[in-house]
Amino acid sequence: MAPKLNPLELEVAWSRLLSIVEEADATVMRTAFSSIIRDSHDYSCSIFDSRGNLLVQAAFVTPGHIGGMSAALKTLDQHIPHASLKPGDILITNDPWIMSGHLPDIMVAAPVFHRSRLVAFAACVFHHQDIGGRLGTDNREVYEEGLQLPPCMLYREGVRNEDVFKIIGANVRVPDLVLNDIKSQVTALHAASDGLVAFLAEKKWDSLDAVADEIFDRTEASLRRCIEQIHDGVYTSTYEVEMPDTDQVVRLCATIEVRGSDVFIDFDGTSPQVDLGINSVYNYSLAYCVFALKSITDPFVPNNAGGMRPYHVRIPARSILNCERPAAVLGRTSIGQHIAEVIYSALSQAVPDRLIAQSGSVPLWWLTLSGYHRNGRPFVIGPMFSGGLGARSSSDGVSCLTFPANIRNNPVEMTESDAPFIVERREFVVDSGGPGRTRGGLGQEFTLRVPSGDVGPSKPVVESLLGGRLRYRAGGINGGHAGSLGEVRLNDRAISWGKPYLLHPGDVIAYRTPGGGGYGDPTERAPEAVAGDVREGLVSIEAARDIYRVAIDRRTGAVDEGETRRLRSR
Amino acid sequence: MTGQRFRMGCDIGGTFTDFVLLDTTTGEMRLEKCLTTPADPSEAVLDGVRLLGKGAPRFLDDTSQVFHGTTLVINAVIERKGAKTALITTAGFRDVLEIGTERRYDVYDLQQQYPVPLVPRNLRHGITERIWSDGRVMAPLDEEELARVIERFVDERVESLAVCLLHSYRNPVHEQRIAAYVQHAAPHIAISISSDVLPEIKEYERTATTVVNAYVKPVMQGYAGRLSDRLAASGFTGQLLIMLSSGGVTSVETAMQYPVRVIESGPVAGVIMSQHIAKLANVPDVLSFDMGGTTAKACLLQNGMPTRAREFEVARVHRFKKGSGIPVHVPVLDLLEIGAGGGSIAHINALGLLQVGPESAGADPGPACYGRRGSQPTVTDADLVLGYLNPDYFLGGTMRLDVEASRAVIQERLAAKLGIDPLLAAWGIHDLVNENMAAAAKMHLAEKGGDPSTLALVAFGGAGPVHCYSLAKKLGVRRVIVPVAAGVASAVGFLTAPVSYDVVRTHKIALADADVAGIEKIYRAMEEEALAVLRKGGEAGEATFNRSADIRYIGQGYEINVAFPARGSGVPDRQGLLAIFTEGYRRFYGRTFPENEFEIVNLRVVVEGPPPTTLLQRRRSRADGTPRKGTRAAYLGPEHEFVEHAVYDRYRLVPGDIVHGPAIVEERESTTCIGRDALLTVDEYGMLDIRFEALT
Repeated sequence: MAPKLNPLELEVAWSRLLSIVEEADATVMRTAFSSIIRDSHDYSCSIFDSRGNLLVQAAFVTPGHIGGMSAALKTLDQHIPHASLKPGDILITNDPWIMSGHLPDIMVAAPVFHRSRLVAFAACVFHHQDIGGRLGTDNREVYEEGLQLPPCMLYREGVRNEDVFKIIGANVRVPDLVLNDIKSQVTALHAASDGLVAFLAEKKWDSLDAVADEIFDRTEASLRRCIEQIHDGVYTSTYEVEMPDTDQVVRLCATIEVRGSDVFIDFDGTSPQVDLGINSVYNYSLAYCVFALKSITDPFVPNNAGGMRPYHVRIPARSILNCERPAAVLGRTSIGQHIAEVIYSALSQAVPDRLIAQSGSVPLWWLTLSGYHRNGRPFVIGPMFSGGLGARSSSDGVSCLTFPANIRNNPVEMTESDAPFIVERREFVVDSGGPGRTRGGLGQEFTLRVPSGDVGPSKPVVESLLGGRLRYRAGGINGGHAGSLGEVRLNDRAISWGKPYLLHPGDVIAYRTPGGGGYGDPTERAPEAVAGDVREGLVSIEAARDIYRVAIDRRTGAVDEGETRRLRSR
Repeated sequence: MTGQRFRMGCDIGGTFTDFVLLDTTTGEMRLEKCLTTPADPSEAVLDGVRLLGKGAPRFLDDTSQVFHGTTLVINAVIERKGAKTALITTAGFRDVLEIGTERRYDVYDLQQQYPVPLVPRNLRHGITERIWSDGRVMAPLDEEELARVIERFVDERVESLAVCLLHSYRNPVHEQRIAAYVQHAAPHIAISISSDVLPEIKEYERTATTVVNAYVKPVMQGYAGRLSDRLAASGFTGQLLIMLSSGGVTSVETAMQYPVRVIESGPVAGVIMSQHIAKLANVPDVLSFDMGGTTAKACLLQNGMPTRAREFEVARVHRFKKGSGIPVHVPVLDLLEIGAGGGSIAHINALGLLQVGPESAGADPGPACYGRRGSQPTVTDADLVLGYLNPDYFLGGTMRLDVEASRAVIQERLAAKLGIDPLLAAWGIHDLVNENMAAAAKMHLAEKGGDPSTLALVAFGGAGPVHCYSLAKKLGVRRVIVPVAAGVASAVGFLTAPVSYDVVRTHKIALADADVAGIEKIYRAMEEEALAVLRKGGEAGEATFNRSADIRYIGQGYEINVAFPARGSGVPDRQGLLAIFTEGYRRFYGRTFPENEFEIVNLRVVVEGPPPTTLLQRRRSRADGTPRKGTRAAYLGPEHEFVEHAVYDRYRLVPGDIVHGPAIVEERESTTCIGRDALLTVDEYGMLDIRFEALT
């Protein structure tokens, strides 16, 4: 029985729980096999109380995973009742509607027992390198997207359920990688469970729930105090997102009502679900609502179930943000991540200082390349590359930064060691950052060549990019300009994202990620800052003159003060 | 012929430079402290030499070795005072340094900032050349382009150049060619090539490490050169040795070549001192605990050995946020750094909870009790209010502490807001900082598999001995050792470090294909190479060789390090290796997967000279006066309230003295506090050996 804790004891217990989940996170990085996990860190670890409420999450997580797990732990109870679980049991599922919205995300969760009582759950989601199915967004139904694993037992009282391993192994392109990564998930849960049990034994507690409630209450109270700072009112935003390979657009509409310390969001008016793999399930959409609101209200308090309570989210059924089975969902990042922008845009008048301009990194640019080495061995790799972050009110947007997802890029040396490609470039795109008093972050160009001969693949390679902003720029705010458009060029011919392409030896494909939007009028940017950008080759001397109205002496690189004054007084 | 009587250690810190002079004939140690001279730190060294000379005239003539550690390298990076540095990469990759990992270190903070790259974009050049992942040359180095770019860098007055080309860890030929060209065409530019500094895969980390090396190289060369000259001019003809982040020491020449390896040399010295204490006290496992003004550092030593890490981060934008700094991959001791020191500030956070640190009041303005306009309550203020510190004997009485100022600031900033008694708030600060340290240390112990019930805590640094008792209780540690000169113990550490050098060789092979005889051959070659460096560092004694390998399951991206049998026994056969690897993996992760296959990734050798002979000499008997100074009431929490503590003068305690807790032992640079279940024995070396009795 955990006693009522005083604030000091609570702080200590909370820190300890955070360090236990960090240990699980570090275990994944050290034991995982695929580059997408160990290098890109596309996984998230967390701990839940005995009732399935999110208690702590590791520092490096991505919001979609956290939202998915939070919902899944509760839903699982309906499929495999928590009360029926035994020590040594481990659950597994990738059901998009139960969890985080697409099949490559597999959650593995373990009930934690102490003194024969269920005290917590340890869980982690990996975005696995492959889940079978057809790559790309031009699938009409989830059945085309790969293996579905309904909630089932991966281990039963410590004994491995070999059937599940066999089923997964038979359905994916790179079984060694996927099955070994699942083992890494199990190892991480082991670390978390051990840590929790040792912690409870040391404290002589037989439950975590009282501590959890105290943590939730305090988190909620802190968040409510922050929400109260926002003026009561109704804020709305309508936002258009491109669809892959067509001229059509998706409309996202949000009506946000701030009332006291509660926030009500309604997505009424949002486009219906589509027969393409870009639909978002409710859990995933909710995750990015919560993320966006937290980032502008109370970013520094650790996230947990208490931080959900002030939010009331309604998303129309069968809309693209709350799709129903059997919608195709693989590329839900390309739509769902825009929720952050919709919310920022709606609240831009309410909390202007805390917001950032739209980001070129929304949505994630995630590439999949699947094929065969010269010796016949299959490979699947998933490099990602980010656009620029939107400018902030008092500082430039960061160039090439994932947002609102949070994963790492793959070292080029790893990509080239794992698969038969040559990366020719990973470099900033000049003038891609949206001009403003503070500038948007720059996008990058990532160029890949498929070599021929013994260095290259044995067959054509399937390429599929989940991305966006080839037609709609990341907008600026308060007078800031938009960032550059993204661009994909195959042998110097523009192509779209989404649909898979076949790459042949000799092909060169270049991905230019979009730049972030600017903040404030670019003619108010300090001339010295513009000169610095020109010196570093981030902004061209022409853009400095035409957009920022700063004249730079070509020879010295210094600001031509007289000419600048003249340009800016016009 | 160089004199052999003295050895000197000096530690250049941000504020003070500490000195220890050891007379090897008597075992006598002299300590000095003087202000660091940031413009030319070697000046402070001469100041110290002059001060030490008062007690031992012209001692440098008779000194065999000067051991030296410095925060100069890390401060040059933090304060951006390094050389004007340029970078050459493979064409298309000049922004790798700035693009970094693309990951946010804080998921929710929209305002996060990243360190400005040490090389601006206009001094980063991508050169035409290409080597592929298997090491073959796909495109030759464009020598004309090289000539042009070096000419431009010369015009730009570049002082140092870093070179990091793709896959150079596999084939360094183009990097070496560039180095040779620069040495010939622009010999005044210092050069660092990545295949030399860090021959490991992953271009961002390798580039960042090489750039840090380049950035501090001219600084280190200038400074170490001046220091050598000045010492020589003062009559010193022995060896000047520099402490490495890995805990070994090396020659000035090596340090000037790879200054990035010296980066953590300050805090590491404390760990080496603890290693020495562990040996003297005959305890295999100790937790080295060094608590200063800003941070506390902890490091577990098992069987007398600290764990090593290969990654480190410098110049973080947020000191305690992983990912907000520049990654540096060099061998370092695996230190835990916690934002908890005497100067750590206590405040009420957004949740209405008391929090201590990580912000620190530093030395200026410092804690409120320093009387230098400090207006925030700190750990030292709490310790003073609680009665642990003697306001009239801080730094031996050279600085008076203002108890009322401490009480007032705690009342105003914390107690009033929390609605509690200021004494209780002070106790809260003291207790919480101990909890924070205990929580972090437990994690550190858990990671390394340390067992608190069998290890001893070695406590030093200004605040370490004040907090060691409570920390030990919270950790479940049953023995605490406070060394002599606890307040300046790091400098003592320099004198106890053996000369050592690490060599690593990537040798990637599946265990099933491993050629045991071939591996033995590689180890021998590595040992020869390391030994040569060691001899160059002036170490003539018998060397020990430690072999280990980084292994993993085939397909994993991270390795664990497992020790190999010593040189004499040779490399075991595959079956023997499998047993070693399996056991290593199980110890680390708790689970193994026998159906998966192991592979070897790197072979490592550490070569060490013999440890210096016993540093601390046995102490003599009491000279004068009783050690007991009187009593003082100190607060032990709401359960016990104020309790009378016996107060002792550390300098009058002699071996065999026994002190029962509750008691306070005062010395110039620190204060040791023990509770009522503690029994303190002064051991034969003058160290305070504290054990806990079972209380009835």
